[in-house]
Amino acid sequence: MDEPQEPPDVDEMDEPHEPKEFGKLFWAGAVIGWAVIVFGLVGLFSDSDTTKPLSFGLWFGGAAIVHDMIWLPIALAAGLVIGRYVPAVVRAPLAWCLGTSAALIAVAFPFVLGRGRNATVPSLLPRNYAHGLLVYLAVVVAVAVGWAAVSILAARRTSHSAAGSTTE
Amino acid sequence: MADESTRRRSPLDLITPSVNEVTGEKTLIPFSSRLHEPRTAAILGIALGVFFTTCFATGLLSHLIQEPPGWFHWPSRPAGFYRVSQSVHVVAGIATIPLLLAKLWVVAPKFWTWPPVKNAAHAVERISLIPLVGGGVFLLFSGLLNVARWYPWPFFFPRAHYWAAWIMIGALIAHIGAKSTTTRAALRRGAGVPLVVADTKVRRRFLVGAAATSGVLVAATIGNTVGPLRWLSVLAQRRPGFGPQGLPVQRSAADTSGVLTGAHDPNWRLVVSGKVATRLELSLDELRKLPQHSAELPIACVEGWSQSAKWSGVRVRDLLEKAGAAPGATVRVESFQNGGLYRKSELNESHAHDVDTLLALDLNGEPLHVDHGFPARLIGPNRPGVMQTKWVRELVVQ
Repeated sequence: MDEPQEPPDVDEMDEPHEPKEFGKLFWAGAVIGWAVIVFGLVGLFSDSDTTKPLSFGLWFGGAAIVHDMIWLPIALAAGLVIGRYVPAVVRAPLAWCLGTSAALIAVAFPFVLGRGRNATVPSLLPRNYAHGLLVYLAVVVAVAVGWAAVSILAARRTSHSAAGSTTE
Repeated sequence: MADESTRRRSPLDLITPSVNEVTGEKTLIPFSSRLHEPRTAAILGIALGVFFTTCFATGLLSHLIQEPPGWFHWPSRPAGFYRVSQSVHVVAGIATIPLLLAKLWVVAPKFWTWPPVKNAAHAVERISLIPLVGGGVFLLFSGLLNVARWYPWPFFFPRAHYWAAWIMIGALIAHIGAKSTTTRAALRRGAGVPLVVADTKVRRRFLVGAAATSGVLVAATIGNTVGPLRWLSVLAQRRPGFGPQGLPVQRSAADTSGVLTGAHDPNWRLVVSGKVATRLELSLDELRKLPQHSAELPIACVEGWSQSAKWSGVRVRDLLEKAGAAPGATVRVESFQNGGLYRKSELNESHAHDVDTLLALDLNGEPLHVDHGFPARLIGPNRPGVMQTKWVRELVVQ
């Protein structure tokens, strides 16, 4: 459990607490980890007929770039907007609703696009994925709205009872 | 989530390092949420460590089963083990997506830490993040697209996914080494600022929210393998029960060269050859006159869907005995399809002699549909679907 937090004192802020960050464990992990990474790279290049290292590298690096340069800034900007313009009591349900909807869309989009369909295999990708996605999004929104309503009511009750206790 | 300590800043502040008022770290971008703290990062990090390690272990197992090195012996029992392990691989991968996004969001300020590199060790730590983040996102994304059977890249997915997994798991080992001290300190009871910054209630709500998002994605896909939940899984690759003879198909006869003509060839014979006393050539009628056996076994696809069915036919071990093969013989099962990666599969000693390893002729009481391997297919316990060779022509005893 967290103790009630005191504001950090100035000394602590000047010297961020870094407990033996680069000790033996760090170097052991770095040596073993990089040995495994090199094993993976050697495997990748020795298997270059099938792994196509150049395009592999583009997709591998591209994955990190798309995350860091597109997804993350959008998420941070959304957080900034929510933090600034949305009442505190409904921030959490709204943030969860947006995050979950985004995750659902990210997972659903290859199914909705249906590029993997094969006319000779009707049992592959047999569902109406756009419809399914919309149903899930509707449920997520409904849950978030319910959550927000409960939060608002709870906040009102707290303020009413607080007001009541002062008049009594 | 903003707090009172947030100050409005001018856009110019973005290029001037500022001190995060809560953690005391220098950063190029002011982050206001107190959830960008080591304790939240530590909890998500442990969860991700468990999930990625699970995916790695199950993925490595699947690889070893399909391309076994000399030292690796895969048993035929327990019959449903592969079904479970591969389902866990795919479900854990899907569940990891929100956790990884949440973790990267929590540690986002670290990307803009100023100065970017403090010393040699810090440089090693930061460089290790490239294969960690690139690998994590690549593995989840490529795995997802594989489940959707969409290959917008020129490389062969299983190999690329496999080697990326080694690269990523190596980076994970380096990351664990780099972060274990901070993680332990951040999780210690009574740990204070800057390791613990957010309110417990806020952190719990955030973590439960991320877990709930994982749960939503799992619910949307798990019906692939858990039949009773198929109504819930609107994003599943398959619908259990839907397909020829009530069973989904991975690869159709029409899509496989040489199968449609071969399957309806009246001169089709099952050949048992190789190291045998008597080479056998058996027509479908002759196979049906041999003792028939049934087994309830799943098709367990590497892409994570699976479904059990009742298969009937001749035991492979009965055929081996009839041909006079040696007791510990292994078998190469060959299809009459022209080419293709999965034209043949190996039966090690354990699989070749299992009572439930069948040359199946019937599925759920009817002759096999051509998409399920008519006139005869291999079906055995504890094997990936790609190793349940369809349209069998020959058992080569080794």
